[in-house]
Amino acid sequence: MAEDLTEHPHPVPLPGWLAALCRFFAAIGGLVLLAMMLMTVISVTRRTVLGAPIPGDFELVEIGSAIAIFCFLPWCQSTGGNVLVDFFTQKTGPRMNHLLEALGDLLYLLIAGLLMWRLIHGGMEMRQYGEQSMVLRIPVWWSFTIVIPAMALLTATCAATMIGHLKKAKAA
Amino acid sequence: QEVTLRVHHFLSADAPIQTGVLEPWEKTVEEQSGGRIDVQIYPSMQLGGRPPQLYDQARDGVVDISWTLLGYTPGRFPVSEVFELPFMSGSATETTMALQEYQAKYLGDELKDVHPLLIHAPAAYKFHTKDKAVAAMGDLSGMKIRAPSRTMTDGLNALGATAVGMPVPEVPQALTTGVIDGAVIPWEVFGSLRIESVTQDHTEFGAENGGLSTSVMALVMNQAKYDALPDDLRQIIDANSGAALAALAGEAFDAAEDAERQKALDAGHRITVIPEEALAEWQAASQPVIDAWVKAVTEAGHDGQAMLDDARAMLATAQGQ
Amino acid sequence: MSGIAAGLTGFAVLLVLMAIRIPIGVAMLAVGLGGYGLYTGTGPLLAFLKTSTYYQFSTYSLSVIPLFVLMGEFATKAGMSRALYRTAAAFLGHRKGGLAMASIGGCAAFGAICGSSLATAATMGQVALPEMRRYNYSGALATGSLAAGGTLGILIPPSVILVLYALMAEQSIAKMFVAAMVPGVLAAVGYMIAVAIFVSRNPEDGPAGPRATWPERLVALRETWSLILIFALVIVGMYRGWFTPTEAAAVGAFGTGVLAVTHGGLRLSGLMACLRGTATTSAMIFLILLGAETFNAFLAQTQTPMLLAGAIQQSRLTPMLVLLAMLLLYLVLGCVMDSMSMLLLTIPIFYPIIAGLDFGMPREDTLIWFGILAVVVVEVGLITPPVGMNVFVINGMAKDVPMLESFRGVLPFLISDIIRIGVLIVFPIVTLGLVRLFG
Ligand code: NA
Ligand code: NA
Repeated sequence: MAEDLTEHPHPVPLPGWLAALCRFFAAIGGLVLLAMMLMTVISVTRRTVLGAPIPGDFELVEIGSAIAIFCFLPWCQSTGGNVLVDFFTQKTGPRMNHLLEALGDLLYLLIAGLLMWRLIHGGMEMRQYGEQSMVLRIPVWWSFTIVIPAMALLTATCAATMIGHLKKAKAA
Repeated sequence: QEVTLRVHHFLSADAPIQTGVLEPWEKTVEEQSGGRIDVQIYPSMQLGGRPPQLYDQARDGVVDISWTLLGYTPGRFPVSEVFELPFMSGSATETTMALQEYQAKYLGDELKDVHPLLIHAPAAYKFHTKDKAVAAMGDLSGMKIRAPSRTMTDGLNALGATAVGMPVPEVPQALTTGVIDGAVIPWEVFGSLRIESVTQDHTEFGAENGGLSTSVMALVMNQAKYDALPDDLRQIIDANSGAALAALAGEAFDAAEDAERQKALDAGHRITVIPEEALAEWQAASQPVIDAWVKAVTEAGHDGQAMLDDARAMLATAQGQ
Repeated sequence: MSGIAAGLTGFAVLLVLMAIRIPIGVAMLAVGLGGYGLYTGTGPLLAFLKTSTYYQFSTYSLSVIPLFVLMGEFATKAGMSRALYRTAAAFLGHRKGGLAMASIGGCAAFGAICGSSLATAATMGQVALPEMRRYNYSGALATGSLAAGGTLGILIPPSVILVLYALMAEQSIAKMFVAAMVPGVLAAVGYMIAVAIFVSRNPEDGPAGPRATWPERLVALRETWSLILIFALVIVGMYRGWFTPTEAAAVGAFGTGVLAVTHGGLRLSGLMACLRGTATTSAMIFLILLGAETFNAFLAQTQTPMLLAGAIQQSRLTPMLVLLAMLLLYLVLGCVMDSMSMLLLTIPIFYPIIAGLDFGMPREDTLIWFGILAVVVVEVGLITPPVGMNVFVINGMAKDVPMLESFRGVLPFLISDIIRIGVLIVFPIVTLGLVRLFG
């Protein structure tokens, strides 16, 4: 049976625990984003009313947005949210398309693994050098305690979607 | 060419650091090496990354040479922060000359991962404000001022202002939109940031009083790249770094400072000079920031007070010349 | 391999990877990382990657994107987008293609707050796409008008890209903003005309709805006044200097969030669904941004953009031909690079060349005029096939619309763009008139 062509990867079933973890990280990222939103609103209000924003509001936004985005990546991958070009592969059939999507997942898997490995080094160096944010002096490496698990989860998710696509290609 | 040196920095190609320092340096080094050294300058973070990564890019060999502000990685270079402290700076030439001595005596350890070509500073920072002039310390109360460094964040808060920490590129729009009322920056960046159209008032502390604050800037080279240079080419690099380059950088930054200041004067902006007799009040108010630095550096195992006293003496000597 | 050969090979490989269903962000990352490693060395690459991903995501100016996406999610959850489109339909729906016109107006207004084309398209898409589909608009017109509308944002001040250009070309930010106004309005009007022509030829793509009476229109307005108030607060707040774009987005998200709770019956499970929706869209956009940044760093290493610029400079062409060549280069580069990185890469090289050419006007005017043209053309690159970021983003949100159809949908807008660029080139006064009036 031919599957519908979309500009996203086709959905593949994932192990329940992995899907739940991706959902959990998306929720963490979402709550960080909500906190960032509330902090900014309070800061703007304080600035307007009292003439004094929350100290370090800019750097809190920078830290918060990094944590949120890293936490969002596995969820996006698990739900097939990344965009691809379906223009040239409309006639290649589901088997070939699943194989191609498995290749995309393999590339993403390698890249995510590489980035995670390098970020571990980067985080350790930041800790060693005591790099801090400017106003609140928050150690930069603290956010890496969320960033690195998120990258590990992204890597695992890419592996799972790749296996899912290979299975579907075999079945097609 | 035998050796290619890729120089990376975050400012635009027409900033004084590129036109006044890096390009003349490129020309000299290429000529003296008979074309065996090829210098390639990449402005505006063209080779990727964000400004706080520049120092490590040179250290790790991502690029061969990078130019950055040591304050972009707060907490990483505490000893060099002494010239960021309140009222510890003069003209670009003066602070840069003092920094050469200070570097030789104290910065070896902090910069041991790279081969420093030049440690320098721009002219002392001034207040540039939008709607309200800063004529006395009390005027700062309730004003939101963008701070250039961690040290000045504490300094501004001590002086009664509300320090706002934000990336430099945000400054013009933040001024336009009233997110901040002013900024502590040198005149020299006016050209590249286009701030002159949004600030009308400028407050200086006469050079003889020592300027409000400054940043410590560093042009650093990858150590392995430096070590691998053939002897004669390494001599050319040596002959064009440190003290030799410091004079050029000091002049370039002071010239840019004067030019931008004159442009503002021509455009009818108001410049307020804080009189010398009022300075004691400012210095007393910001003393806790200096004390905190001495304490932190001493706790890290250095003789903070001696470093501070030495830095002051070096600056005084440079200002006397 | 020479730099330019490496750069062009990188381009070719990127196009192939994208053609075979590799996600766009992943393809850019793969070529960017691979090219960087092969051309510059794995040591530098591995060192570069230690912190580059973190800093790319930890950028203040980009934090506006997830917040605006969240605002869109809340507005949708609050049922406000539907109410908003009922209002839009009340005023414009009786025209053929009226909702597409409303989307364009919405994009222009929204882009004025946001300054990012991708975020504008994504946020308005969140709100407008389901509604247009509900009113039986074709996938082509619905996605096409939003993708094109998204490109308006960057012209209408305050715009991050105009600020960037002003900084790099040493021009006044205020003058750049003033210069962008007439071209921005022209763009919005041109797009609406494009919709009108498109639906007159294909009436089934944007069907006319029933004409609403004035009492009905007022009722519709009453349903949406709170959301309109929030949008007005966000827009006026930015112009009056109450907030930065990120702060405006936070305030807007907060306001629509409150509305979603009070009017839309948003509860915990709904809130979590909003957050997951935000997660998908934000991660999709940031993966593309990360890929573009990485590919861009590789291209800069090969010096391909600089060598191309050098070739233009040495060609001894007339000023107008040099200008056209540069704009053409932008259009081509626009296929793979995000506007900001592309301008960051090229403006420092291009503006001295342009400043040195004689277009029969003062140097400052030339640079302002060129800046507006460059930004317009870079934005057009966001909707040209085969690679149009805005089209990808909007099409990504409309799961049932094939990519080809979306590109068919942007065609009328592209024609409008080409006419507008022609007008801006031939009549510099369109750009410079207001500057001279206020200058
Ligand atoms: Na805008
Ligand atoms: Na394109």
